[in-house]
Amino acid sequence: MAYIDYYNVLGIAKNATQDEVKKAYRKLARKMHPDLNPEDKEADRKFQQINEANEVLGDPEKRKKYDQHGEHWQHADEIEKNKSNRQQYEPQGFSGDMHEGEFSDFFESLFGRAASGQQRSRNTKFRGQDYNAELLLSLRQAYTTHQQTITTNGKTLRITIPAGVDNGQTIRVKGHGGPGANGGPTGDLYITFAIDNDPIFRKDGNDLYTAVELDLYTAVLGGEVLLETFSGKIKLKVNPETQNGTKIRLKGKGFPVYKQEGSFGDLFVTYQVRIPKGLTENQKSLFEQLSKL
Amino acid sequence: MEEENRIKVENVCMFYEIDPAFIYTLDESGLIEIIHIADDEFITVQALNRLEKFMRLHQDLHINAGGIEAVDYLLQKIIMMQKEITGLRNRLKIYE
Repeated sequence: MAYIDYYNVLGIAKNATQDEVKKAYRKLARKMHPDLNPEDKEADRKFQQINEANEVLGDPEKRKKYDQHGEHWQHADEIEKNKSNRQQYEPQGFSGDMHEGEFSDFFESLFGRAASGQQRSRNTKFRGQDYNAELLLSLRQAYTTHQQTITTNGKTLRITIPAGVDNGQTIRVKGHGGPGANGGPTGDLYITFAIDNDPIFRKDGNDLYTAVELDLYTAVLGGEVLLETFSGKIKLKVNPETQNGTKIRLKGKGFPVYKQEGSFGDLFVTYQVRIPKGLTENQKSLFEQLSKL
Repeated sequence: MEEENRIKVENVCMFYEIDPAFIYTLDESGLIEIIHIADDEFITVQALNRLEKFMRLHQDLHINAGGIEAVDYLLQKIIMMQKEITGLRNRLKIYE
């Protein structure tokens, strides 16, 4: 338990008037209020300290007690011995719904845990702050349902990402936001997905688009080509005399539909016929013969 | 809109012990929306989160409706910028 210099926290002198305490508190609270500093743990911590300092120094009775015992916090045993005397400072009928961790151990050792709920401007239960996070996924990762560990606001969380999440889509993880105030429920965590562009497949809705190169001979005579997809290799039958830019549709071979198991978009393949380069004299001659036929 | 997704303004004021004028001012500023059905006024359950935040700003920091409007606008900008920074950091990690 570390001694907390509440005067230092509020940046005021030990002989500051109650008005000066109030002014200093308001000024700092306006800078550090958690609602003004979304997802800033440090501001959150500082705001708690400021609140605590105001709770003590803003109350003449508590301030007197703090001034008497505060600096001699090391004599914790003596404070413990006098604990029974301290009970008289604790309010009767405390509901016990104060959020744990809102006040420091130091504060609670001096004034008792119950005191931390005393004299608050209100005791309405407030839901905790919602947190936002962004998660970058490759298109391949987004294709399958998988688990990922993410760290947000100092907490590590393992979440299951359903197959088919879209770029910019946000999912809610209930109860993983900021803690509620006065016993209010915890906020939620909102994760927005950013899907990175894939070098081979382009996604449009639930459909995937790709291009497959065909050599001239397969395009002219027909044959087979192998296409590697996210779910494995597919053998494509190429019809004879396939033109450059021919588009084929492979039904149900596209992207999974979000939260509709077994449902997939289509895969569109565009054939790009590659004209051979660096022909030998013999090949050139054969092409010439063909052109004269 | 389904009934369970909305809450009477009257009940909200009673629960949070706030003056209805505060909610009307937020509505006028476009910060929350009051829905009128017959003779009753409602806000959506989703809007409650925002209302709670505005109440904290008003009660804890003594910020008036005009100030809340400005703060809300700037906060949304901050959140968007934070998202953008996270996204850019994630992209940068690929090349590190």
